[in-house]
Amino acid sequence: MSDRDIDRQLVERAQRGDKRAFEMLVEKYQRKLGRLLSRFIRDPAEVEDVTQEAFIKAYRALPAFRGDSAFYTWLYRIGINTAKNYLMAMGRRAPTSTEVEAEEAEGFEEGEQLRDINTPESVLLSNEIAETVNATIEGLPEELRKAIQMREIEGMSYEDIAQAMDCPIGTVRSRIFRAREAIAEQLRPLLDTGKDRRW
Amino acid sequence: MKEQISALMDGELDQRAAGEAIERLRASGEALQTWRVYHLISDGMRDTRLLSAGFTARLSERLAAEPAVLAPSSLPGRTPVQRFAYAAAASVAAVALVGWLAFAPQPEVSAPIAKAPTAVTPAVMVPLPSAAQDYLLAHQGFSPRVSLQGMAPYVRTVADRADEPGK
Repeated sequence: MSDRDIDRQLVERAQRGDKRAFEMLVEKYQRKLGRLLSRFIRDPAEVEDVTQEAFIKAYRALPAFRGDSAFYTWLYRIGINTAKNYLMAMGRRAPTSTEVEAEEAEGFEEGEQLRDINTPESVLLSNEIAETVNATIEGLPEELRKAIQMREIEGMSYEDIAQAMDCPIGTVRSRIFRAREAIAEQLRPLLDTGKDRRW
Repeated sequence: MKEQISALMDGELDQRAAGEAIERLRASGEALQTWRVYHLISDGMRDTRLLSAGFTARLSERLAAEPAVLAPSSLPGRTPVQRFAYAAAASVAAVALVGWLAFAPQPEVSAPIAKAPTAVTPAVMVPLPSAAQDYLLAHQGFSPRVSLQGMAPYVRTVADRADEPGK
C-alpha cells in the first residue's frame, strides 16, 4: 500500500467514528502543517493555535471528504483557509512574500519548498531534537545510515533502496527499522521533559 | 510490532498487513507512541518545524470533546476489486440500455403526427450571357455528360439561346 492508501484507510476509519485513526493522521501531519502555516503567521504560539483549529475543522468536515484528492492536500487547503480567516479576524493580512495559494498545496511536500520564519527561540528549541537526530544518524553503522537517509531524505522506496544497496527488500526494511530505533533511543530522554520543549 | 509500524509509515505493507498494523496502533498506547516518535524522527531529519510537546495532548482533548463523525462509506473506488465491480456494472447497464432501445417492440403510432409544411423555394432561372452560350456550344464535345447524345445538347443550348430575353 502506498502512503496515500494508508491515509485513505485511516480516513475511512475516522469517518466510521474511530478518533484514534484521526489522531494518527494528526501525528503524521501536524509538523508539516505547522511549517506551512508559519508562512502566514509569525508567532509560534499563534501558529499552533491555527494548526489546532485547522485539524478540528478537518475532523468536522471528514464526512464531506470524498477522497478525490490526497488527504494531505485537502488538509493543507483547510489549513491555508483557516490561517487566512484568522488573519482577517485579527485585522491582519498575510505578507505577500509568504502568501501561499491553495493550489500550491496540490504539489506540496515537506522539505525545501518552504522556509520557516521561526523566532530565534523557537529555532533553538526545535533544533535540539533535530541535532540529536542528526548526531545519532552520523554515528550509525554505514548500512543503517545510508538506508534511513535514502528513505527519509531521498524518499526512495524499499525496492529502489534494495537495488541501490544490492540487498534484499527485507534487509532494507530491517535496516531502516533498526536505524529508527537507535535514534528513538537517543531521543527518549528529551521526550520525557516538560511542555516548553518543542517536538 | 515496531518493525511493522516502521514499514507502515513508509507505505511498504500490503493491505492486510497494513490493516493489522493499524489495528495494533488503535489498541496500544505504546504502539501509538512509536508511530509518534518515528514521525518525529522523520520530521527532524527533514528540518520540519517542530511544535510544542503539549500540542498533541491539547488537540486530543479537543477531539475528545467533538462528537464522533459517522459518515457513510463515501470514498469512491476504495479497492481495485470495487473499482472493477463498479465499472463492470456500469458496462452491463449500458449494454442493456442500448439493447432495449434497439430490440424493444416499437409502440403503434395511433395519432397522426403533425407535419410541418415544407418550404418550397421556386427555381430561379439565371440567364447566361450570350458569350457563355457560345462557349458552351463550342465545347459541347468535351462535356462529361453522356446521358444526352447526338443532337440533343445542341438543341437544348440553341433553344435556350432562342428564349433569351431581349433576343
